[in-house]
Amino acid sequence: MQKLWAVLFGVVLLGCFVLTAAALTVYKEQWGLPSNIAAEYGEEVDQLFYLILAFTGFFYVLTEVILVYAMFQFARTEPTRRAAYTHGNHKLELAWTIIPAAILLYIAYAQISTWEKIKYQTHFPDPEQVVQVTAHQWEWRMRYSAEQNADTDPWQHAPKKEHEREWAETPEFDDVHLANELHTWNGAKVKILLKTSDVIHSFFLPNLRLKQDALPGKTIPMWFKCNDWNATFDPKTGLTTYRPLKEGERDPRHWEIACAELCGGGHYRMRGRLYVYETKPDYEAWLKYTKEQQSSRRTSPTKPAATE
Amino acid sequence: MRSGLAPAHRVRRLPLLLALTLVPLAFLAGCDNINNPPYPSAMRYPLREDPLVLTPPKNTILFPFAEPPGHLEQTVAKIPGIEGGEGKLANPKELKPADRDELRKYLEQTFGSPAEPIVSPEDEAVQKMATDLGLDKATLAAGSKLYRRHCLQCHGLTGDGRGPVGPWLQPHPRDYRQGLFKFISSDPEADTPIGKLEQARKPRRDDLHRTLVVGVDGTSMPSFALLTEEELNNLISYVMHLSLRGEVEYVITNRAITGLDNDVPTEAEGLLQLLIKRWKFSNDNPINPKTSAPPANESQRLESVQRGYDFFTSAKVGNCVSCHFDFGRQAQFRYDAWGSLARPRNLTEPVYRGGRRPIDLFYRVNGGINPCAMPGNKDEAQVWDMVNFVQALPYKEMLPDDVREKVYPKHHGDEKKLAGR
Repeated sequence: MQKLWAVLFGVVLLGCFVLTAAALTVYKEQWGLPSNIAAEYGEEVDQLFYLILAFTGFFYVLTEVILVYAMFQFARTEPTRRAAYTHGNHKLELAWTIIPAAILLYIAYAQISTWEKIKYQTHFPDPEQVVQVTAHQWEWRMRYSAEQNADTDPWQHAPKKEHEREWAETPEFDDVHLANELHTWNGAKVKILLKTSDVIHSFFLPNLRLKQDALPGKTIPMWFKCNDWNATFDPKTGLTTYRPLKEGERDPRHWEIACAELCGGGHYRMRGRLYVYETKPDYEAWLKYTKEQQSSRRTSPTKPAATE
Repeated sequence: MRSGLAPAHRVRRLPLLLALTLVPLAFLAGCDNINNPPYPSAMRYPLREDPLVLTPPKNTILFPFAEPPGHLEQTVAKIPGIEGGEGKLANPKELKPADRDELRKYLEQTFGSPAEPIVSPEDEAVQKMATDLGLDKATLAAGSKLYRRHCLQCHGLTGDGRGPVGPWLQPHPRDYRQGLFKFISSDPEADTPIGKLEQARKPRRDDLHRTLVVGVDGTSMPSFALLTEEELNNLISYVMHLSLRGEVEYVITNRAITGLDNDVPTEAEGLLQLLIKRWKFSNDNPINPKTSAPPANESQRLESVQRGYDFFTSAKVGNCVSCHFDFGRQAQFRYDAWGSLARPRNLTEPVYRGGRRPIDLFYRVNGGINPCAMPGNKDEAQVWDMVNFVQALPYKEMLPDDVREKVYPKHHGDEKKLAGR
C-alpha cells in the first residue's frame, strides 16, 4: 500500500518533469519563456537562465529520485525490525557543501559581464530616445520628449533642458504624457528614467528581460534596445495596431509591461503595452500625432453611443 | 512501526483520499465566466442609509488639512455643526416606511438589479432618448459585469464612492448618486428644449470616455486605455445608469422627507424623464469655442499670458486667486457638494485632473466646475488668455518677466503678500 503511494508520487513527479521539458523544448513558443527581443544582452540573460536551470534541475531530479527510492524501498507493510540509527558521514557532508559552493561561485562569475551590460551606467550607450516613467498606484505614467510643433505651437519655447536628468525631474511644455504605453522603434537605444510617486514598484519588461525596482525619492536609469518590431501607426485614424503575423509565426507579439513589486490592491492590473514601430519615422509620426491631440483647442464632434 | 489500523480500514481510506485530490478539479468548470462574472442575480441595489448632503458648508470656511483616511462619514456628519456654514443634511431614516417601500419598488422597476440593470422611463420618446444615450439592456448588462471587475472596489455597488477602498483614497472616488460631476464639457448656455442647462448640465459621453482613457492624473483613478472601445462604451453607459438611479433616489428621498406634491412613483417618473433629457441635451451640446487658434507668435503669446495673469489676479474678472491662493500653492481645503473636503488645484504644477489639453482647460474655465463652486467665464477671449496663462504658469521660462517675478519671486516671503493675506 505504501509502495503504491510512493510509485504514484514518483509518477506525478515524472509527469511534471516531462511537461516542463516539453514546454521548454517542443512547445517553446506557446509555453516557454516570453519572446526575447532584447538586443545586446537578451541572449546572455536567457543563457544564464538556462545555465541555472540546468544546475538546479540536475539537483532537483537527483534529490527527488533519491526521495522516491527511499519512499519505495523503505516502505514497510509489516512491522518487523527497528530502524537503524545512523549519524553523519563526514565525506558526504563535505562533498555536498563544497560542490554547490563551487557551482554558486561559478554562477556569480558567469553573470558578471551581463550584469555590467545591463546595470552599469558607464556601459549605457548614448540614448536615441529618453522616456521618463513614473510609477504610481496603479499605473505607469510615461513622459516623452517631443519637438515643438510648428503648426500648433508657433511660438518660441523655453530652451530644452541640457541634461536628461534635469528633464526627468522637471517636465517641459512640449512633453507628451501617456499612461501605460511605451512606444519606441526597432533598434533604438532607449533610456528610461524611472521614478515612483508613492510606494515601491518594479518596472518589468519581460520581452526585454529587463526589470528595475522604482524607489521613492530616486530617479533610476535603465536602458534597452529592441531587435524586433510589432506595431504600425496609421496617421489617418491615429491608431496604433499590432502588425499582422508572418507565415508560421505563433507569438501574437503582445509585448507587455508589468509591475514586479507588490504595491497594493491594484498591483496585478498594473500592466501596460510595449509598442515597437518598424522605423524611426513611424515613431515620429505617432509622436507628432499624439502631441497634436494633446495640444487640441477644438471640441471633437459628439460620437454616437455604440450600442451594437 | 504498526500502521495502527486493521487492514480493512486502510483500504477504505483510499477512495476518500482520491476524492479529496480530484474534487478541486471540478471547480475548473464554469471557467469561461471566471474572469468576468456577473453580479449574483438575486442581488438588489440597497437603498441608501447615509445622510444626503443637501447644502455643503459655505466654501469660505477653510480647513488646513483634508480629513484623515477612512473618516469620510465623520466629515459628512460634521456638516450641520459647522458654525456659519449653513450646511444641511437630510437623514434617510426620516423617510416614512410607506414612502420608503414605494421608492424601493419604483427604483427596482425602473432601474433593475445589479445583474440586470435597465433604464425604463414610461414615456416612449424619453425611452428612445435613453437608448440613444446607450442605456439599452444589453449594453448595461455588459457594463455591469465590467464595473464589477474594474470599478466596484473604489466606486461601490451603487456608485457611492464608498467601495472597500474608496474612503481611504484622497481625493475620494466620485459619488455618482447626486448626478454631479466635475469635468464636464457640455455648454451651460446652450438653448435646449428644456431651457438653458446651467448648473444642471451633465457630462457628455465623451467626458466620461476621456476620464476612462486618460485617467484622472494626480489621483488614484487609473487609465483604462487598455480596455477595448466596446468595453469602455459599456462602462460609460453603466456609470450613467448608476448616476440616474442615484439622483432619482437622492431627490425623491429629500422631497419625501420635506413633503411630496404627488405620490412617490409619479414624482419619481417625472424626475427621471427630466434627468434623461438633461443627459441627452448635455451630450448633444458641447462647449464649442468659436476661436481656437493658438497665439500666432511669441510676442502675442506673451501678451496673452500677461492678460491671463491680470484676469487671474483681478477681483473683477476671474478673481481666481481668491480660491487658488498663491496660484494654488497655498490653497486650503473646503467642503464640496459631496460633503468631502477638497482644495483648488495648485496650478504651478502641470498636473490637471480634468485633462491637460488646452481645450480641457478651456472647458474648466469657461464652464466652471459646478460641484466645487468654481464659476465659469463666458467671455471666450478672456478664457483663452487665462488658458494660455495657466499653461505657461508651471514653466518659469515661458512667463513674461514681470509675471515671473510676481509668481516666482526671488525673495522668500513675498509669497504671503501675493496670496492677499
